[in-house]
Amino acid sequence: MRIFSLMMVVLLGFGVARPAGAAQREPPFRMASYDEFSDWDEEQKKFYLKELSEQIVEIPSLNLLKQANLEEASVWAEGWDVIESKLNRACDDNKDLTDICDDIAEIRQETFALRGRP
Amino acid sequence: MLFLSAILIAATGAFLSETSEARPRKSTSSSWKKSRSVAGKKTAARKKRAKKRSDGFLCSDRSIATTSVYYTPAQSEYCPKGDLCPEFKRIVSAPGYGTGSGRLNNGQIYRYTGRTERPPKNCETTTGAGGPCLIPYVSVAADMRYYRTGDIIDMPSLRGKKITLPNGKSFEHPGYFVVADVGSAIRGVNRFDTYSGLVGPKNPQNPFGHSGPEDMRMVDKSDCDSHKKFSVIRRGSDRWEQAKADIGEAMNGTSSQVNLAKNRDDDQTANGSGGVQ
Repeated sequence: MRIFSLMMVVLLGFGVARPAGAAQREPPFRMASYDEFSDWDEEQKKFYLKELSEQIVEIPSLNLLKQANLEEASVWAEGWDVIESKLNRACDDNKDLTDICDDIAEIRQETFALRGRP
Repeated sequence: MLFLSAILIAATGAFLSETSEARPRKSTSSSWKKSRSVAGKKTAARKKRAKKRSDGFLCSDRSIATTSVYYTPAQSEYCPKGDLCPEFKRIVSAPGYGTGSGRLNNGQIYRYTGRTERPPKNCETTTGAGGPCLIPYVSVAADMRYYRTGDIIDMPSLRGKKITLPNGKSFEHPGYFVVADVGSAIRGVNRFDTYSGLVGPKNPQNPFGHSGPEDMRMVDKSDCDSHKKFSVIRRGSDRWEQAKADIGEAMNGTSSQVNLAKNRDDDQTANGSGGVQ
């Protein structure tokens, strides 16, 4: 079921998916890229997935995503890219989502700060 | 292919329809309401934290870097008896110059939180918030609102400048920095905190420090001289691969671990242990 729902998310992104390795390169950076996520330690990864899963469901096109789906995408670059693309498109297209998009961007910042300096 | 596309569109339509019906049912669930309430409280807290931050001084020309220097203190410099002395702990925990971690005599990394950890293989410094080992005079902390880890900052004025490391080995600076870390005070698109390894900014051997040559000094953030002119090379772009190779070549033979940032290809071919070789 988990795999099925993640597959559906990917299918929904059929029209917007970019080639693998094409994570958003210019700001605003709302979601951690697959590469950034891969470089984090376990504590950071756990925190990020938990917090992101709570907020990302506020995005209408991603409202069925569960933490387990994000965990699966976290080891699948193409799946992660599609989720990121859908998030960015939703945030770019819908001004009503500004607050939640800012919030999702802040989770990335907080995750870095977990291993940041005093 | 057309047939496959039609199937996908049909599946997508069915999924969307299911989604739009499922949403109102969620609003009647008390557990869902509770989770939304928790998320709402977190949102408010995040906004509060984000507002508290200040960018501080920034060079008005956004193509000139506003720089400072930070480093990793070594236990051997502060604790002559070899114990975990208060002075070392204080330096590690002090905001500003430090990385929030220090190197213990046994080679482990001591975090300001009191935790000790083993550094990655061949890492003679510490790890940044982005994960990989920090490279002296190449890694920088930046504002992650504008950068991703692994983005490269091109500062041509540094290219070819000779730098000698504490282990006696020297290298010619590649003219690039790599975004690898964050700092609570590092805010702004042209704000960078340059990392100088185990050498503090007051040490005369630190070319980025107070005694460094004028055209290499990074310690004074109010210095907006043209030698700090920079441009950005985004991770994954065509120029990035070449710049990454140039950094690897420049650092070759210094014993510094040059693992700027993993590629997803590295994950697939080398089980995540890749980097610049």
